[in-house]
Amino acid sequence: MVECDHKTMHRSGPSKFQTTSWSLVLTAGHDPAVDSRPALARLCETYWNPVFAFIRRSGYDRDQAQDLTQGFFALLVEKNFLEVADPQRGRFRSFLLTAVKGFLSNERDRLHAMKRGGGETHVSIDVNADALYAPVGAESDTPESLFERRWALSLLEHAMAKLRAEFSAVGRDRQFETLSPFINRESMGTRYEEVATELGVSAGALRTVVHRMRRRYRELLRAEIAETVASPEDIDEEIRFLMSVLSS
Amino acid sequence: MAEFLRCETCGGTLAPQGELGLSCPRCLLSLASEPESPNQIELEISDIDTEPLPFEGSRK
Repeated sequence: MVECDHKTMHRSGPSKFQTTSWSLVLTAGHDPAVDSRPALARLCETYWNPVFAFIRRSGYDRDQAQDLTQGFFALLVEKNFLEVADPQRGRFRSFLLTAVKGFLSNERDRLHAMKRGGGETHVSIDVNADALYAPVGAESDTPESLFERRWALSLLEHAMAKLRAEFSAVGRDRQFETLSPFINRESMGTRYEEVATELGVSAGALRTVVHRMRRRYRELLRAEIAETVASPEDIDEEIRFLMSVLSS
Repeated sequence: MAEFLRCETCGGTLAPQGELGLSCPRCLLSLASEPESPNQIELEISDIDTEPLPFEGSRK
C-alpha cells in the first residue's frame, strides 16, 4: 500500500489547497518533465473497485473482470493515457470512467477480430455474485451507476482505513474498534449511555472522543475527495454529486 | 440478489462488510459536507474533555 501524505492537505485551509494527486496527473499529462506514475498508481490502487464493478456489470464474469481491471490499470499507468486528460473537466472519476469505457470497447473489438480470425476466446459463466461486486449492486444498476456508487464507497472506506491507521499508530486500536460505530450519527442516542456505563466513563467524555473521531474522519474524507478533483472549489460540488449517487 | 439493509436515519443502503462495517454511507458522506457547528467546538473544549477513557491510559 502506498502511503498518502495528507498531513499538509488536511491542516490547510481552502486558500492553501495543496497539489492533489489528480492535479499532478493532469499536469503530467501536459508536462513530460513531471513523473506522475506514482500518483496515478496510488489513485488506481484506491479506485480499483469501481472499475472492477463497472467491468463486471458490463457482462464479464469475475475472473475476466479481474483480469481486465488489472489490464486496464496496467495500460493506464504504463501508456501515456494522460495526454488525453482534459484539465477543464477536473474530475478523476470522469476521466477514469471514460477511459475504462474506451478500454472495454477496444477489448470487444479485439475479441471480435479474434473470433473472425479463428482465434480462441475463453468465456466462462459465473452465476455467483462475488464479494466485491454484490454488496453494492442492484438489479437496476447500469455499469455507470454501479461505478459511481462503488466510487463513493471507496472514498468512504479509504478515509475510514486511514482513521483506523492513525489510531493504530498510537496504540489505540481498541478505542477505534469500540467507538468507530459512533462516527455514523445513526448510532447516537441512548447507545452513548450504554457504552459509557460499560466503560465506566461519563457519556460526556465519550461524546468528546467521538466528536474528535468524527471531525478527523471529516478531514480525511474531504482530503480523499480532494485527491480526485482539480481545485478546492470542486470538492463540495463533488460531495453533492456523491450524495446524489448514494441517494439513488 | 440479496436484500440490502437500510439505514434507520436516512433510508440509505448500508454496506454490510469492509471498512465501513454497518455504517451508513450517506450519513458518513454527509459529515464531509457539513460545517462544524459552534456547539461541537464548545463540546471540544469543555471540562469533560479531561476525563480519560479506560483504554487510553495503557498507551506506551
